[in-house]
Formats: sequence, C-alpha cells, structure tokens
Amino acid sequence: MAKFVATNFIITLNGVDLTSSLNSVTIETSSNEVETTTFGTASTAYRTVVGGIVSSTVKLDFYQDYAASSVDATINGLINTIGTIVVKPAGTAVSATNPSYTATCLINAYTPISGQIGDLSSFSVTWPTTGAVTRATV
Amino acid sequence: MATITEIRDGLAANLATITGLRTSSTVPDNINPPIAIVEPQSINFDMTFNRGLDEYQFKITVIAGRADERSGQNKIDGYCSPTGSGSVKTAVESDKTLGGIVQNLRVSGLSSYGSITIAEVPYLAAEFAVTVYS
Repeated sequence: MAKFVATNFIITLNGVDLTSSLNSVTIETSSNEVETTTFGTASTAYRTVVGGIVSSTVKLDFYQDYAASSVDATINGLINTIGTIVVKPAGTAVSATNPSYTATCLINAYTPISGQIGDLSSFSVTWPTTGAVTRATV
Repeated sequence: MATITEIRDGLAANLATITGLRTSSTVPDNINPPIAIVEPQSINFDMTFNRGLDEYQFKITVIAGRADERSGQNKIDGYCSPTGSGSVKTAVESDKTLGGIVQNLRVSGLSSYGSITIAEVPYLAAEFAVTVYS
C-alpha cells in the first residue's frame, strides 16, 4: 500500500458501523517522559529520560444522526461505560497493508445537541483508552 | 445513495406542489412561463468516510413572463416569499428527504432577482440556491 487519501476509513463502536457519520478519526498514543538526569551531571551534559506510562486517546468528529442504530442511538446509552472502537484505514478487509486498530475507550464525553444555523449538526469527542491499543493484520 | 438525476427529479416534484408553476428537472430548449428549472451547480464529495455523504449545490431558476411587468413581478415575489403556498422555499423543503432518497436539504437563499432574456424575449427570473446532502 502506498500513501493514500483518507476517504475509506471504516469505524465501528461496539460493532455498530458509524463510518458514514464520521469525517475525522485520530488515534494518538504517547508515553510520559520520566526524568533520569542526576545531580552532579555537568551543566553542558545532556539530560536523560526514560519512557513512563503509555496513554492513548481516540478523537472522532461526527455528523449527528438521530436515526435508529445511528450516532445518537449508539452513543447516548454508553456514557460512562467502556466501549470498543475499531478503525480500519482502507476498507473492511484487514491485511498487512490495511491494519485494524482496536481501542477500548472510556466513553466519558458526548455532545447530543450541537448545531449552527444552516450547517450540518456536528460534534467531536475525545475518549481516553483503557489498556493498550492493539494492531491486527488478519 | 441517490443519483443526481433522482435528486433533480425530486426537487422538481417538490416544486410542482406550487399551483400553476411548471417545473423542469432538465434545462428546456423552450420555456413556457411560469416555470422552475432545476440545475446542478457543484458537488462536494466525501463529506464522510467510505462514500457516506456528499454535498450537492443546486440552482433553481424560476421564470415568469413580463408581458405585464407588475403582475410578473408580483408572481416572482410570491415565489421568493419565505412562507406561503407559492413559496419556493416552502415547497422545496416540504419533503427534505425527497421521498427518502437524500439525507437532508435546505433552500439557503435567493441568489439573484431580475430580468433575463431568452431567445430575445425578456422575462423576470429569480434564482435560488439549494444544498442537498446525500
């Protein structure tokens, strides 16, 4: 697979395909930077660090949809629960060149009502993950 | 996902609910006013992932005869009204899914109003901008 234009992401939440209501998805993982520089180090020396606790977030930008089995019906009942997000970058067939990323998230934010006159109703959420984000190629 | 032809036809069908207004979902060679003509203007593809949503811009041109200038302009005024039985906005938005083939639509504004000449015949015309999400 080569570089690609992001048009065919497939995104599910607890198995519900919300792809057609999403226009942006971001999974971000980072680790704490833990200082290991000690006293007595020369002022011109480099500081030293090691990796600490790893954390991830999933950010999703939705167009709101109140239809059955769509955005509101899926998310509204999940507040303060753990949900599973699966993202496939290029269609449903998972492979070495289309890896799926699975994140288990605390669904701790939701904006059921959001709108500007004349525009599509939209909202964004950023959910912290619990545990590792896993990558699969099969 | 609806085709552009289906959307044009759907918009024309909604316009046809205005009594006395002829409609055309294609650009006619000859016009017989009063008539509303539906034309696509632009498409913004891929509003969501995996071909989930596109945004279409349409133009609706309503043309009235101006043999009698005052009555012609009054007729156009009625089409431009935000409400009422002759309102283009009310008629087009009377079924915002066009029978279930699109997600939503909105008549966002009147983009022009004035005289036009077709085949050397002067008419009065108003153009409306319509956004369709499908």
